[in-house]
Amino acid sequence: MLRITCQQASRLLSQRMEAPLGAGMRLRLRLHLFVCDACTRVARQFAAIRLAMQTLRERD
Amino acid sequence: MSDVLTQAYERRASFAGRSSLRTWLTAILKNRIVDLLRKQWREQPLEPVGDDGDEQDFDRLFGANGHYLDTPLDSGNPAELAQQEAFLTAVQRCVEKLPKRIGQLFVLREVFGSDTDELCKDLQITPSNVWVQLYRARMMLRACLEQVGFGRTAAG
Ligand SMILES: [Zn+2]
Repeated sequence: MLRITCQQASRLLSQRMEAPLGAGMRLRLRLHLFVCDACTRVARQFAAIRLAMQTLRERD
Repeated sequence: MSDVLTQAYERRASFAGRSSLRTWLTAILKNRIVDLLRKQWREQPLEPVGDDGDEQDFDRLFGANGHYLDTPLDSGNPAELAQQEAFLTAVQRCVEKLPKRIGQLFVLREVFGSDTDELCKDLQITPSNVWVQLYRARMMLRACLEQVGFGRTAAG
């Protein structure tokens, strides 16, 4: 079963920021992002949050 | 966020001078904070969650088919957004609103750069627990940030 829900995809989007996903999960997530605008946006939101924390961290 | 982290963050911001000095001071600060949190977390451990987390977690955001009910906002280019003052202020404000433990974990991860191994060792929790808590933190932050347009509006 390659299809995953947005809920599962969102969990994987966060998890891959912590550790590499296994090949199977990586493929499922990739297929999901290919067809899902919502999760593509969530991926960008998560990235923006991490980068913003980085900007704050590097500030004097 | 806890007082410890808020104070640490403010003090950290006042460290002027060479970055090597700042890095060194940050390392010391990180160790002291980890020591403090380690004691706190040992006395009052986090409620354990299963490997799949709480299935009800954020359920209300998703329809019966598991898709988002409200389409997430388009936040644009993450790198550009991360340089905008209004967005940075909003992020800080939203991090401060996180539940205490989740906020501590998130700050250790994103400000002090602790990875999963360190977080597990320092706070005596499992990797899946770390990931579930960080997922919660990120989902709460994105909900909080969407309230101010996720950087795409002047509001903030
Ligand atoms: Zn999706």
